[in-house]
Amino acid sequence: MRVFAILLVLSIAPGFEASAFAGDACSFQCADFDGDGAIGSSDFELFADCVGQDPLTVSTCQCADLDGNDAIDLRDFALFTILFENVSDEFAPGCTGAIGSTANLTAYRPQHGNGYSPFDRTAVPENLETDSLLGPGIRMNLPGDADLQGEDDLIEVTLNVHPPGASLALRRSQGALRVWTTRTKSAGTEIAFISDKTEALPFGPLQSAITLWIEWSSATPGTAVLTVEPVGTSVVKDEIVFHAFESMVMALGGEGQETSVPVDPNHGTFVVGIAMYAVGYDVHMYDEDVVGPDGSGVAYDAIADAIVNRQVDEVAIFGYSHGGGSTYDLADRLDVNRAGLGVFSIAYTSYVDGVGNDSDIDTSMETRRPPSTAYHLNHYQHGTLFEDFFLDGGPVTNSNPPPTGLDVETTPWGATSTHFEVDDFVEVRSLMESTIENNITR
Amino acid sequence: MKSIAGINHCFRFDPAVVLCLTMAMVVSSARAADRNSKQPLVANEQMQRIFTELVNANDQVERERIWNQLQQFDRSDRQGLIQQLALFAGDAKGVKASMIPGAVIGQFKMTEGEVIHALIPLLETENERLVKQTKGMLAEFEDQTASRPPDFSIYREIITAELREGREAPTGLVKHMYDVSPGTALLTMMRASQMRDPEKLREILWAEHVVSESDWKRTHGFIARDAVETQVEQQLRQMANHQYWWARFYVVATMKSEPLLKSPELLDMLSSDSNTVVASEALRLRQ
Repeated sequence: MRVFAILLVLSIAPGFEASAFAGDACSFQCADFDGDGAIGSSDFELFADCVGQDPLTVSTCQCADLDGNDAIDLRDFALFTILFENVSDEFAPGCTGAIGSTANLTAYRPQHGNGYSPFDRTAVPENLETDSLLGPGIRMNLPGDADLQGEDDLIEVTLNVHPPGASLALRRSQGALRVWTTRTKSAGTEIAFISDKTEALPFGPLQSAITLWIEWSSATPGTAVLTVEPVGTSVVKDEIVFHAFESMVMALGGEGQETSVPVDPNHGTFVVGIAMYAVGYDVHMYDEDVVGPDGSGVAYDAIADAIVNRQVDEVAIFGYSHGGGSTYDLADRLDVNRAGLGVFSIAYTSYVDGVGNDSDIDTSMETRRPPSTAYHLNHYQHGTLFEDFFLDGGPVTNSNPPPTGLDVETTPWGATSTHFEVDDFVEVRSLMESTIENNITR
Repeated sequence: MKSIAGINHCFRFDPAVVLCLTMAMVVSSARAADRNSKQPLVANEQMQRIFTELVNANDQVERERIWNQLQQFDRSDRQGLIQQLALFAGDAKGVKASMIPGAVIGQFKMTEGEVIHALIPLLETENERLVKQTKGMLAEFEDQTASRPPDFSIYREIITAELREGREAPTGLVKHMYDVSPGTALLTMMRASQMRDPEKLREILWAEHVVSESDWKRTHGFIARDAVETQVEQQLRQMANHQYWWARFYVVATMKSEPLLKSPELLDMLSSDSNTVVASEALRLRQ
């Protein structure tokens, strides 16, 4: 039926004014006249306009002479019908009708230790793959990085191809990107680039997928593009834009709130953390117990390593209940130790009903503004003995919403709030997410 | 005798005889073993059940009823209540359950001394979660901040009293102090042990000063983050050969706190120390 329709159009096509092909060079694949990566009806319309035209004199029809016989005729039409709704890796005038390969790159959000916990293994959606903000982020991996949880700075990318065993290569936009076939960079597993392009990737004859591990090995931040294309041409089959992280986001749960996969929906701090992870931030989530009363511990060590060894210069910290107290303690230690860390800013902090965390039995309000924070968001409610053991945060001078934060009990949605649910209000979480977006670069 | 006093206490404050008899039994069973010994802390099922009921209570009336029960326990056996709270929180999930000890201790106006004395024995149990919880509760009295060393003065008084009585310093407490801050712990033990010879005092003071100053230089960028100064190694070697076990333990605790300073040679030597605390910790760190 489709062929019939094409023939019908072809029968009336001669004599139409040819006008569709811009430029002289055939820069797109055979039959992909509009260069959208697919061969479809829109290409046929352009082709039909050229049928019967002289490609030697009508320059805009040059690429419609698929087989290069100096005529746009039924032989070209035959090639077109073969390629219709397929892809080609060839260019006019050298089209043979060979079906090209397809490829799909899928990038994942950053690893944590020997896997992804406390996050799910999260694929970057197709529509965000080339978004320089929301797309895949990648930690700089530089000499001296302590890798406190082991090597986990490489980004997992899967490459699916059709037909199996397709001969494809990678191109990178800059040398910062290095590609490995092992997540821990085992010796002999790096895929070499020559002039920023690889040889054919190591697909076996029947293999349709491989996993690659991408490293950002430069100390210069920015973005870089990784493209998959045929070995002999520059036809883009798929591409991903990586942004190198310059910030770090720390989410600290309340006392007794442990991270889990899947996340407990009643652990609002971690729900926010996962939301920010999904939009391209380097998020780290912890039980607040990892922050000692003097700010020391795993969370501090991770931030210090990132500042000293991975060019991170912006830090965001937020926490609920005792996690609020730990937010203060962590910010305080970072501020006290600035001279030995390097230049960085605590660009964002947030308490949700912050409770001081001098100890596991500290029930005091955390109302101190985290030292040197550029922006502080504060949510609090009022505790009572039999509702929530008098646990509550309180107003924090010079925080947001101005002047001292939001008493959620003054809002219609939070009027009856207790300490145990204040972190779960969508209004609280949404304001945290939007203010992180507004104050923290990735 | 104490359990009988507990019954009298009940009758004085609560006419509910059944509850009082139950509580008297609780007090009696909880005291069957000496809580200051190294015996593992046994869960008091009734107290644990009441804590759980408090977490799960759905309305204010129910919570108030349970709270009153807790007050009765507190009046009859405050130390036991504190220890059972630690046991409960050690296994607690979620904010509500985890914050009950703080709420009870705060609202019942328990003193620093009462809480610390109840918790110290728990540092020597083999229940790791309970030990972690206990350390987390003790932090309330240590004034830890990023800008200055912690304050162990209340521990020093306790240890001094024990030593004056000719008893050993509570091992769990000593290990806890060294976990939190090896340098402050060393100085605390030095004072608690009533040393009087200025030469001996200066030897310890200087060792602590050299090691902590080097850490300060590393932290603030005066030397490389991975630099190990020769004088630090010298002082650690000197302390590793000190006559007092708590000075030798300082070496192990310092290497645990700052892995850069680990010396396989010193750890080997300390692994066969005559003091079992020193030897076992050195062996663990060496592995």
